Amino acid sequence: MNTKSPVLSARNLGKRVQGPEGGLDLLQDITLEVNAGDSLAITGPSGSGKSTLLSLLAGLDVPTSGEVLLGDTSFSSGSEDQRARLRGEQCGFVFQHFQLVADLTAQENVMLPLEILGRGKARDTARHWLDQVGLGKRCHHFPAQLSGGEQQRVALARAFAVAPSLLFADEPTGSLDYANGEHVADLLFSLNQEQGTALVLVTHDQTLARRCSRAMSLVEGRLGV
Amino acid sequence: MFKAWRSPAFRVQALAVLVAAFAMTAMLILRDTVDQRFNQRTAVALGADLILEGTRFPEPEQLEQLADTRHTESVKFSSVLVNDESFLLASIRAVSAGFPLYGEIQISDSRFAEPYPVDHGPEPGHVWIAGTGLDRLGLQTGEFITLGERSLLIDKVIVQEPDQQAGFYSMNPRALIHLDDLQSAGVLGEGSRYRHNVLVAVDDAARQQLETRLTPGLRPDQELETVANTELRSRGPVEQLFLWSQLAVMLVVLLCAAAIYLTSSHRARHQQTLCAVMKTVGASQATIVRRLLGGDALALLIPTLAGIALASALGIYLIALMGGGMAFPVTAPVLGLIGPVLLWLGFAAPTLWAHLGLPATALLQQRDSQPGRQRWTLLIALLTPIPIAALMSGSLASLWPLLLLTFAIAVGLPLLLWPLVSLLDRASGRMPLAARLALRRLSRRKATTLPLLAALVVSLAVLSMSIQTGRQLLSDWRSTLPENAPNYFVINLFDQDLAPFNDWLAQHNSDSRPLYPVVRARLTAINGEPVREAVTKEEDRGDRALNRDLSLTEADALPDSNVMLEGRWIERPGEVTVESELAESLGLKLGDQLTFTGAATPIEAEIVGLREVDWESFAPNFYFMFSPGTLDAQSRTWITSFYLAPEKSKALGSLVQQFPQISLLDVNAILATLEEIVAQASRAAFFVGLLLMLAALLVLAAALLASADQMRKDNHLLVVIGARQSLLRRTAALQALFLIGGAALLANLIHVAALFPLGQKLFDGELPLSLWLLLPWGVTGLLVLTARLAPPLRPASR
Repeated sequence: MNTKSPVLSARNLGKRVQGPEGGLDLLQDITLEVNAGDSLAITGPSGSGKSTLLSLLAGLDVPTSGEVLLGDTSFSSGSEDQRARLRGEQCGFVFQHFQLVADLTAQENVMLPLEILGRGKARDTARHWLDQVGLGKRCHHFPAQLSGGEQQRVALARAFAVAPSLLFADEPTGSLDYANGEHVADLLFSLNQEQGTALVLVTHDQTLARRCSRAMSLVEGRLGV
Repeated sequence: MFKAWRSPAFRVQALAVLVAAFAMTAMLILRDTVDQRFNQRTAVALGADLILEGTRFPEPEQLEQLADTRHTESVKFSSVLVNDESFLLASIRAVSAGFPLYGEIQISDSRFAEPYPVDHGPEPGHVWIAGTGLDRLGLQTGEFITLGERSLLIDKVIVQEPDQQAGFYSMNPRALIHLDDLQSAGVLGEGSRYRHNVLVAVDDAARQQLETRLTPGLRPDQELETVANTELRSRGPVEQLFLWSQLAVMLVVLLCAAAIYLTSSHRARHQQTLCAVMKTVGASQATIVRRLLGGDALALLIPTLAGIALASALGIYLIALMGGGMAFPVTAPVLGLIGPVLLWLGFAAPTLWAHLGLPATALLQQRDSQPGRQRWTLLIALLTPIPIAALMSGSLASLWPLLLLTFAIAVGLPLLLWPLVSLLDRASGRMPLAARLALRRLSRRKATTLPLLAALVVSLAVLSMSIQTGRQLLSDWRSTLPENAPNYFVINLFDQDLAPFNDWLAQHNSDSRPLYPVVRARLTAINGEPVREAVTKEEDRGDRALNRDLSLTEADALPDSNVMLEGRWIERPGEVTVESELAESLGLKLGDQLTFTGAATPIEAEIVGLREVDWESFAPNFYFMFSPGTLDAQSRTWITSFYLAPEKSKALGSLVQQFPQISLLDVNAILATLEEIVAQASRAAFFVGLLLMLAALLVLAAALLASADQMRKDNHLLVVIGARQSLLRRTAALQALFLIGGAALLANLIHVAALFPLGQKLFDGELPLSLWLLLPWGVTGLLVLTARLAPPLRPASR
């Protein structure tokens, strides 16, 4: 057991939805903790509930039982706006399909979370992080003008720009070819270590999962180590 | 067929088809109806194939040349009909036997009796009078009335003359007498104002021969009017009317086409999976086309027929309103059906086909259609407006102007707006996040934003301008006139009338303007050269000045409504000052010698000054003003204007009684007629503006649907990285503000630019601004509020 205080904890987390044939448990009795600097891989087959778990951990959805704590603050109660604020201040996200705003330049995409939080020097910070991911010269390119690997690097810069205590990554190399996937994964882990950010990584890729300090497997909505 | 209606994109598309079908069918009905009305009227409007017109009787040798043709004569003038104590100023027409050559006169045996047509005029000793004239006189048919020294029996009531034309002559009640009675009545003397027409019925070849024979001997006051030049001239305004209405309808149709295109693309993307599954399970192309394309096409029949039915109902109502026994053009609804079919074939089918024609795997991966197919789709969409324009214009001659104008507005206006949007795009980098996001959503989709912005600008400008001109502008202008601005013009006073006329004015406390002598003459030479050779640059005003008798005057002082721009005011006989704009259009300059030919000796004068004239001063104004004495040798009448308080208007009867030969023009009556015409035109423009606005809103709805998926994704991402709902709402509201507010601002600019010349001409240089300028902002406020209050687009929850 890690002695550091947990950045993220989930206690007896469950999610039940009503389907056409009655109630269906998507997740049951999930308990986990992630400490600062930790990296946790969550793997599992399709339909095991990985995306649902990520949504609950990131405060994008609310559990039907149990709770999520971000530090000491409940992340599974409160209004959507309160959760959004908390998420913006403490979490970063990297998605399989990059999820950049097509109408904004690379630099503006990185500035986006900083501006939402109302932090100063958003432009300078964005430039710094684009330099960090090797895209300093492509600040004013729009996503459509960048390759898949470059777009994911912009997404990484955006995720780290707010100096999050927790980074969620959902299949971050899933849409990339091998070389680009390797490059993005290297960048993700090195930045994670440099910044001391806790990482929650959802992936099918066992090679990627093995690079995390811990891994958990999700089977039919229940966790196994 | 009914499944399609479940899709919001299809419902928007159906509404676009309905609006397009309505607009096109209404245009076709309008074209056919106006054509019918025009053909009816051209046949009888002139009343002849050739008319020899003059302000005096023709020369005997001219009549000799017409002796072998079927012809008749008519003399038009204003005079007073008298019965005991009652007087009526009437527009009288004396006609010879054989009138009318074409068409019929509608008469009735008594006031309000059933009218019937006749093909002849009154017998000698009889007079036919318009019903309003009888009302004013308080007489019935069968009673007698006096014209000059001739007593005439009121025989029939005139309901309609075949070649009745507008103009001041027609403002008074009309009366028809036999030409033989004119001499004995003794109402026309030297200096009287009248028009003599010889109407001739001949075939085309004979008409051309007659034209050739008569032209060299025409006096300056005479001209030949023929069916050929009349049709050419009167077709002009009708063709202009068609061109502008067709252009408006083309814009409405193109906007609907844009909505159809956008919704088709959206619908095709949403049907890709169904299509892929059908292909995977072995459905043939024919089955897919039948299921996916045929279903849509069939479902669109309902809005198409609804649009045609609405336009037909409107057409039937308007035709009934216009009267004249015109038939409803049954071909119009049939042709109206072709329009929506063309739209669907040009803008929906290729898009659906390009998307759904992809291999199953490409469809499942939601790939875009192949570039080759995209190019074909674009080419077909670009070419489709040509047959639609051809359908509406109905002739090759008017097709190209229509296409050019459509192209200029549909492509030119968006191109003009491009730099503005690009500039805002660049400036947005420094804007707050919500504003930047809102602006980028517009500026990064120029292909949708620019036409949409252009459509909103045009529709908002048309709406606000039509309301202001229709409801307010003329009344605003009337309120700027001085309280005692002259409200009556008197023309045709004789020398001997001047003293008693001034007495009458004094007796009724009327505020009069100076009296001016009027001599009718035509400008025939400049510096000794005939005008046709001397003038090379004939603008409209110049052309009008050359082709008709002008009213010349003399005065010893510059009128209040005139300002000398160049040279000096006249001092000696033989000098003339000229209105500056006419001088410019005729190329006249100081020192030029002008020759005018009137009824008496030619008038020679040197230009010594150029004047600017305030034509809205309600005082008599003249192009040419001579020094006193120059026109002494000419026969002349007098003109003036005066103000008479409305409550004293009954006194006008005594004026007409005292001076029966005068023509009295009631300015307020003319303005009231003008206001009604402007109001009708404005109502039509407002209706067009509403249609344009509706079509623009359909494009807006289609564009929102087309970008909804992307906006959902973007909004979701913003929430994931910490954005609150308020940011999403603010962004949506700002997006609406930038688009519709931008359009409102540009519409205001166009509106003010259109008001500027009016301000210069009618409002002493001040812009006649109105609260209607805020109308586009009202629309903006409504749509921004809707965007602000509507829940932000979010992905459907699982």
